[in-house]
Amino acid sequence: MKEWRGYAGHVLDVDLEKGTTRTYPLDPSLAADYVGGKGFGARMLSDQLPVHCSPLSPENILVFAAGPLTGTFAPASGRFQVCTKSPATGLWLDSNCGGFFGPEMKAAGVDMIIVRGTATKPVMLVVEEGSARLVDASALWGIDTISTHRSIRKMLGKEFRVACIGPAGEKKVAFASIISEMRALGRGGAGAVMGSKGLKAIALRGSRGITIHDPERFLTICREAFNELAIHPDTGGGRQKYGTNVILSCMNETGVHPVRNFQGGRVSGHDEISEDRIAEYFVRNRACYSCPIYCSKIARVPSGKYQGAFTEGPEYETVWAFGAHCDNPNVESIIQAEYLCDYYGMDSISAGNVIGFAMECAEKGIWTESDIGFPLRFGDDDGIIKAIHLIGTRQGLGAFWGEGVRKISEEIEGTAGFANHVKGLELPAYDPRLSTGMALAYATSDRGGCHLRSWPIGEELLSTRDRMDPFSKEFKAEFVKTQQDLFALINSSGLCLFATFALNLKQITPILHSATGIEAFSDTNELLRIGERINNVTRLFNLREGLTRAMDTLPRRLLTEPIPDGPGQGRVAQIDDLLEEYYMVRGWDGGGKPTEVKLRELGIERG
Amino acid sequence: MIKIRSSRCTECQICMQICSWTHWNEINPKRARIMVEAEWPENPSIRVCVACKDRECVSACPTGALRWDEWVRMDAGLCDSCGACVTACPVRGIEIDPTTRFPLVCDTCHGDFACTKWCPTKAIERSARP
Repeated sequence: MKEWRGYAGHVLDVDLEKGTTRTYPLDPSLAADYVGGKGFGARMLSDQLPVHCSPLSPENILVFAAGPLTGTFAPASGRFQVCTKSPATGLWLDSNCGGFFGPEMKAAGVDMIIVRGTATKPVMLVVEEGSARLVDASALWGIDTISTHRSIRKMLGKEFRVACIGPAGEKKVAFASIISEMRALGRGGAGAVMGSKGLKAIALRGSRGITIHDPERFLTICREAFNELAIHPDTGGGRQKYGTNVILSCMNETGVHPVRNFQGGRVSGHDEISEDRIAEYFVRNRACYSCPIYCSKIARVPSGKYQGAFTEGPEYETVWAFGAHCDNPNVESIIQAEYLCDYYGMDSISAGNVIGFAMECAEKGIWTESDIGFPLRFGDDDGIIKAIHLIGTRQGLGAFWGEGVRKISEEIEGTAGFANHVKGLELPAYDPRLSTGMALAYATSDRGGCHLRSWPIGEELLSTRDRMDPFSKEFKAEFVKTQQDLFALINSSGLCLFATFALNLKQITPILHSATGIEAFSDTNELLRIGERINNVTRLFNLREGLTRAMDTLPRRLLTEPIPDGPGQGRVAQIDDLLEEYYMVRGWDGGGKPTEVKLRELGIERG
Repeated sequence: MIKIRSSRCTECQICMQICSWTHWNEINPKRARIMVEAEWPENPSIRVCVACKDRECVSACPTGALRWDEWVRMDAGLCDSCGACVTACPVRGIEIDPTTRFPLVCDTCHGDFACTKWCPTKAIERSARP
């Protein structure tokens, strides 16, 4: 049997329908061609998911996958990935999460867990030292994620690491998340898929070690990487102090911080919410496994209306979603809102989007106070909190809102003009009208409106080192393509995207190679090619599930309504000619399909 | 000995990884001689042998497998994995190795203190011998 280096070397395959689990060895060629994480998920779903299956049907498959660096002491290597077909978009979904669950997967002896079918009653998957069993979880059904964590650890032992869903996942909210110790596999509704399968939680424990191919080289390179992260002004400074909110005022000043459901580009009197205002609530730092950046903060509200509210965060995206997006200056209510999103197990970006969208509907008279049951106006923090409860429990209009912005806008006439989503996934906190790179990144992201496939904002508005003009289209297609390939690789390796702020691929390549000893990982260009391969596989997956060129676009508001204020005043988002160029750079035809030549070059068989 | 400031700890477990790496040549925090323990959202605590004067582990050992000589040393031929030392340690600084079933006690890497060199927040630091 193959001696694995870096990898645990096993796949756990769970069939909830039959109630069986089986373990088999990891395929060495899968590892060499797709690295891990997102790459594994892309291959599995393409090969095994029935075409056009409904995301919430028993046919859908959930893949949890760690990378070869997950659980090692490469810096920021606590990440793992869930891949499935998204109920929000009906397309490809991968969602990434840090913390300790991924490393524990490796310690328990598995690189990948594949979950199929639907259980007849709620179950929990318990993996202990490489052996798996399904346990009745009826008693946990209906319980919030925080209590679920506590109960499971009380039941099994506190050394268990847990990923679970809350009431939102059980009730199949389209943007329900999977929560692992208050960190989320957030976007795209993987929690709803888990809920549809009747799988309440996965709990893991193990004591297996990870062996490294070239220990001395690995140790030296990791030490250098740690030093690199420590001296970088973001990963060794701002992010440690403010967490992800480090960019908050900068984003607002540059005018890419959308307010009132993308009606404007920046908050007036922005001191009301700034990174310093938020940092006042931080009580301590927390890190994911093996991470010196410790961007996680525990925030607590000491007094006032939201006294006692606490969360791990609040993260930049949440602060925007319930802050600027809803025109809400109350930081304490944002902390409470993030806590509630974790409690119910749903994505805070999408939840904030839905609420901001509903606020605009209410403003336009589409819903009245009596339809909703309470006043829901921009800037009203009480309304936000009540709306979260409504969605989390799917009561009243919340049952409908839980379908996400696209579904709502399809059913309510006259709302499509301000429904801000791409392919069904609501947009995050960057206005693409000010950033041609971000416009292209949103339009071409494989999981819909997402900032983590490519994030040109860094070069367009934050960096002085390799600055690109945010209004120009020059080199944006090349940039977005290359960064998408890099991020796909990073999300497959087990490293965190934040590590790439300080480390370039030249520094990451020897980490991957010395850990695994896999020859293909010794070359930077080859690794980028693996990233490109993964992106082409997810593209093929999306095309077969019904993606068309017309869906590679942006919300109507951003294409037609100019920004009223700030540095981007008067601008609208433009995408058409840039998209054309992007397809060309990618080696895709005019309809956005990978050409035979490209697929051959990447070693992918069509299908 | 190792000076501990738990309030600086971020739970990253780098100390545990370096410890297992140094002693066993594998990355396995479960085999570390230093333990970070945290129950979210409570503050973490760091558990490790603090080289106390009482050496209750040594006196609790029924087989005479433990003795003090700069650090706690164990004679594997005498240890029967009873765990009396684990219970006796007043700072819960001893764990049983899941692989060998022998107790894991900090040996300061024979004076090298590898974990303290990697801690990103200086929650653990090398301090002068008492």
